[in-house]
Amino acid sequence: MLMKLFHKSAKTQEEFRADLAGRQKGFMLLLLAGAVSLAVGFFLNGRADGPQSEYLSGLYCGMGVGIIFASLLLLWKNYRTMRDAKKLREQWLKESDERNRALNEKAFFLIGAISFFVKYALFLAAGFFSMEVLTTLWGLIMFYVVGFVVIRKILERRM
Amino acid sequence: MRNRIQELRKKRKVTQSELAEAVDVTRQTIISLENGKYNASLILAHKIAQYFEMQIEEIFIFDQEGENIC
Repeated sequence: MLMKLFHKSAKTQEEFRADLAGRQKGFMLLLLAGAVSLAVGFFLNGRADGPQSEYLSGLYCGMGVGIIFASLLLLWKNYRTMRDAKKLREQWLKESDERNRALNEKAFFLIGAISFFVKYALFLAAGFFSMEVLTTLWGLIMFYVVGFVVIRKILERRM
Repeated sequence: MRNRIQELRKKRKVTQSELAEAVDVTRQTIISLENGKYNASLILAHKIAQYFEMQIEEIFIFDQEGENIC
Protein backbone atom coordinates (compact mmCIF):
# COMPACT_ATOMS: atom_id res chain seq x y z
CA MET A 1 0.00 0.00 0.00
CA LEU A 2 2.84 2.35 0.87
CA MET A 3 4.48 1.62 -2.48
CA LYS A 4 1.22 2.40 -4.26
CA LEU A 5 0.75 5.63 -2.33
CA PHE A 6 4.16 7.08 -3.07
CA HIS A 7 4.38 5.58 -6.50
CA LYS A 8 4.22 8.12 -9.29
CA SER A 9 1.17 7.44 -11.39
CA ALA A 10 2.04 5.85 -14.74
CA LYS A 11 0.36 7.76 -17.56
CA THR A 12 0.11 4.81 -19.95
CA GLN A 13 -0.24 1.07 -19.57
CA GLU A 14 3.23 0.55 -21.03
CA GLU A 15 4.68 2.88 -18.39
CA PHE A 16 2.74 0.91 -15.80
CA ARG A 17 4.14 -2.40 -17.11
CA ALA A 18 7.65 -0.94 -16.73
CA ASP A 19 6.75 0.18 -13.20
CA LEU A 20 5.60 -3.32 -12.33
CA ALA A 21 8.89 -4.71 -13.60
CA GLY A 22 10.67 -2.28 -11.28
CA ARG A 23 8.50 -3.39 -8.39
CA GLN A 24 9.71 -6.97 -8.84
CA LYS A 25 13.13 -5.78 -7.61
CA GLY A 26 11.48 -4.30 -4.51
CA PHE A 27 9.70 -7.59 -3.83
CA MET A 28 13.03 -9.44 -4.21
CA LEU A 29 14.47 -7.14 -1.53
CA LEU A 30 11.47 -7.94 0.65
CA LEU A 31 12.17 -11.65 0.13
CA LEU A 32 15.75 -11.04 1.22
CA ALA A 33 14.54 -9.16 4.32
CA GLY A 34 12.35 -12.14 5.19
CA ALA A 35 15.30 -14.53 4.77
CA VAL A 36 17.46 -12.30 7.00
CA SER A 37 14.74 -12.22 9.70
CA LEU A 38 14.47 -16.00 9.56
CA ALA A 39 18.25 -16.37 9.78
CA VAL A 40 18.39 -14.03 12.81
CA GLY A 41 15.59 -16.06 14.42
CA PHE A 42 17.54 -19.31 13.95
CA PHE A 43 20.72 -17.63 15.17
CA LEU A 44 19.02 -16.50 18.41
CA ASN A 45 17.52 -19.91 19.05
CA GLY A 46 19.33 -21.43 22.03
CA ARG A 47 22.11 -18.80 22.03
CA ALA A 48 20.88 -16.96 25.11
CA ASP A 49 19.13 -18.14 28.23
CA GLY A 50 15.71 -17.19 29.41
CA PRO A 51 12.23 -16.95 27.97
CA GLN A 52 12.99 -13.61 26.25
CA SER A 53 15.44 -15.11 23.75
CA GLU A 54 13.01 -17.93 23.00
CA TYR A 55 10.26 -15.40 22.43
CA LEU A 56 12.49 -13.24 20.18
CA SER A 57 13.63 -16.27 18.20
CA GLY A 58 10.01 -17.27 17.61
CA LEU A 59 9.03 -13.73 16.72
CA TYR A 60 11.85 -13.27 14.17
CA CYS A 61 11.25 -16.70 12.63
CA GLY A 62 7.51 -16.03 12.39
CA MET A 63 8.04 -12.61 10.84
CA GLY A 64 10.64 -14.00 8.45
CA VAL A 65 8.34 -16.78 7.21
CA GLY A 66 5.45 -14.32 6.89
CA ILE A 67 7.55 -11.85 4.87
CA ILE A 68 8.93 -14.62 2.64
CA PHE A 69 5.43 -15.91 1.83
CA ALA A 70 4.06 -12.40 1.29
CA SER A 71 6.92 -11.43 -1.05
CA LEU A 72 6.59 -14.68 -3.05
CA LEU A 73 2.86 -14.03 -3.40
CA LEU A 74 3.50 -10.45 -4.53
CA LEU A 75 6.16 -11.57 -7.02
CA TRP A 76 3.81 -14.16 -8.52
CA LYS A 77 0.81 -11.78 -8.61
CA ASN A 78 2.89 -9.01 -10.17
CA TYR A 79 4.33 -11.41 -12.77
CA ARG A 80 0.83 -12.59 -13.75
CA THR A 81 -0.41 -8.99 -14.02
CA MET A 82 2.48 -8.05 -16.30
CA ARG A 83 1.73 -10.95 -18.66
CA ASP A 84 -2.05 -10.55 -18.85
CA ALA A 85 -3.27 -7.46 -20.78
CA LYS A 86 -6.70 -7.50 -19.10
CA LYS A 87 -5.27 -7.79 -15.60
CA LEU A 88 -2.70 -5.11 -16.43
CA ARG A 89 -5.41 -2.64 -17.47
CA GLU A 90 -7.54 -3.44 -14.41
CA GLN A 91 -4.59 -2.93 -12.07
CA TRP A 92 -3.51 0.26 -13.86
CA LEU A 93 -7.03 1.69 -13.58
CA LYS A 94 -7.21 0.74 -9.91
CA GLU A 95 -3.89 2.38 -9.09
CA SER A 96 -4.11 5.42 -11.34
CA ASP A 97 -7.72 6.18 -10.42
CA GLU A 98 -7.64 9.65 -8.85
CA ARG A 99 -10.35 8.87 -6.30
CA ASN A 100 -8.47 5.80 -5.08
CA ARG A 101 -5.31 7.88 -4.74
CA ALA A 102 -7.18 10.61 -2.86
CA LEU A 103 -8.67 7.98 -0.54
CA ASN A 104 -5.21 6.55 0.21
CA GLU A 105 -3.82 10.01 0.93
CA LYS A 106 -6.72 10.90 3.24
CA ALA A 107 -6.49 7.57 5.07
CA PHE A 108 -2.75 8.06 5.60
CA PHE A 109 -3.29 11.62 6.79
CA LEU A 110 -5.98 10.57 9.27
CA ILE A 111 -4.09 7.61 10.70
CA GLY A 112 -0.97 9.80 10.95
CA ALA A 113 -2.88 12.46 12.90
CA ILE A 114 -4.60 9.90 15.15
CA SER A 115 -1.36 8.06 15.90
CA PHE A 116 0.32 11.37 16.73
CA PHE A 117 -2.33 12.27 19.33
CA VAL A 118 -2.37 8.73 20.75
CA LYS A 119 1.43 8.87 21.13
CA TYR A 120 1.17 12.24 22.84
CA ALA A 121 -1.49 10.97 25.29
CA LEU A 122 0.64 7.89 26.05
CA PHE A 123 3.69 10.15 26.45
CA LEU A 124 1.88 12.17 29.13
CA ALA A 125 0.71 9.01 30.91
CA ALA A 126 4.13 7.31 30.65
CA GLY A 127 5.71 9.95 32.90
CA PHE A 128 3.92 8.33 35.84
CA PHE A 129 5.30 4.81 35.42
CA SER A 130 8.28 4.47 33.05
CA MET A 131 11.05 6.80 31.93
CA GLU A 132 12.05 4.35 29.15
CA VAL A 133 8.57 4.40 27.63
CA LEU A 134 8.42 8.19 28.02
CA THR A 135 11.79 8.68 26.26
CA THR A 136 10.84 6.29 23.44
CA LEU A 137 7.53 8.08 22.86
CA TRP A 138 9.25 11.46 23.03
CA GLY A 139 11.70 10.28 20.37
CA LEU A 140 8.87 9.04 18.15
CA ILE A 141 6.95 12.33 18.53
CA MET A 142 10.06 14.35 17.64
CA PHE A 143 10.79 12.05 14.68
CA TYR A 144 7.23 12.62 13.44
CA VAL A 145 7.42 16.42 13.82
CA VAL A 146 10.89 16.79 12.28
CA GLY A 147 10.06 14.26 9.56
CA PHE A 148 6.89 16.16 8.67
CA VAL A 149 8.76 19.47 8.33
CA VAL A 150 11.58 17.93 6.24
CA ILE A 151 9.25 16.01 3.92
CA ARG A 152 7.03 19.04 3.48
CA LYS A 153 10.05 21.19 2.50
CA ILE A 154 11.15 18.57 -0.05
CA LEU A 155 7.64 18.35 -1.53
CA GLU A 156 7.36 22.17 -1.58
CA ARG A 157 10.27 22.33 -4.02
CA ARG A 158 8.65 19.80 -6.33
CA MET A 159 5.16 21.24 -6.36
CA MET B 1 -19.70 21.77 -7.44
CA ARG B 2 -22.63 20.14 -9.21
CA ASN B 3 -22.36 18.12 -12.39
CA ARG B 4 -24.57 16.81 -15.17
CA ILE B 5 -22.72 13.55 -15.76
CA GLN B 6 -25.64 11.26 -14.92
CA GLU B 7 -28.06 13.31 -17.02
CA LEU B 8 -25.74 13.35 -20.06
CA ARG B 9 -24.81 9.71 -19.65
CA LYS B 10 -28.44 8.60 -19.55
CA LYS B 11 -29.34 10.85 -22.48
CA ARG B 12 -26.64 9.16 -24.56
CA LYS B 13 -27.44 5.68 -23.20
CA VAL B 14 -23.93 5.16 -21.89
CA THR B 15 -23.34 2.90 -18.87
CA GLN B 16 -21.19 3.93 -15.92
CA SER B 17 -18.71 1.21 -16.85
CA GLU B 18 -18.42 2.45 -20.43
CA LEU B 19 -17.83 6.02 -19.30
CA ALA B 20 -15.33 4.87 -16.68
CA GLU B 21 -13.46 2.82 -19.30
CA ALA B 22 -13.41 5.78 -21.71
CA VAL B 23 -11.97 8.25 -19.21
CA ASP B 24 -9.59 5.77 -17.51
CA VAL B 25 -11.11 5.66 -14.04
CA THR B 26 -12.95 3.03 -12.03
CA ARG B 27 -16.74 2.71 -12.13
CA GLN B 28 -16.81 3.62 -8.44
CA THR B 29 -15.34 7.03 -9.29
CA ILE B 30 -18.14 7.69 -11.79
CA ILE B 31 -20.70 6.65 -9.15
CA SER B 32 -19.15 9.03 -6.60
CA LEU B 33 -19.06 11.86 -9.14
CA GLU B 34 -22.72 11.34 -10.01
CA ASN B 35 -23.69 11.24 -6.33
CA GLY B 36 -21.77 14.45 -5.69
CA LYS B 37 -19.52 12.72 -3.14
CA TYR B 38 -16.35 13.42 -5.08
CA ASN B 39 -15.19 16.37 -7.18
CA ALA B 40 -13.27 15.54 -10.34
CA SER B 41 -9.76 16.86 -10.89
CA LEU B 42 -9.22 19.30 -13.74
CA ILE B 43 -7.73 16.50 -15.87
CA LEU B 44 -10.68 14.16 -15.29
CA ALA B 45 -13.16 16.99 -15.87
CA HIS B 46 -11.39 17.69 -19.16
CA LYS B 47 -11.54 14.03 -20.20
CA ILE B 48 -15.25 13.83 -19.37
CA ALA B 49 -15.93 17.04 -21.30
CA GLN B 50 -14.02 15.64 -24.29
CA TYR B 51 -16.00 12.40 -24.08
CA PHE B 52 -19.33 14.26 -24.20
CA GLU B 53 -17.91 16.77 -26.73
CA MET B 54 -18.89 19.70 -24.53
CA GLN B 55 -17.24 22.52 -22.61
CA ILE B 56 -16.22 21.75 -19.00
CA GLU B 57 -18.48 24.47 -17.61
CA GLU B 58 -21.48 22.93 -19.40
CA ILE B 59 -21.00 19.73 -17.38
CA PHE B 60 -19.53 20.96 -14.11
CA ILE B 61 -21.52 23.77 -12.55
CA PHE B 62 -19.62 25.83 -10.02
CA ASP B 63 -21.79 26.50 -6.99
CA GLN B 64 -20.28 29.55 -5.29
CA GLU B 65 -22.29 29.17 -2.07
CA GLY B 66 -21.66 25.44 -1.86
CA GLU B 67 -17.93 25.99 -2.16
CA ASN B 68 -18.03 28.64 0.60
CA ILE B 69 -16.26 31.26 -1.53
CA CYS B 70 -17.10 34.95 -1.14
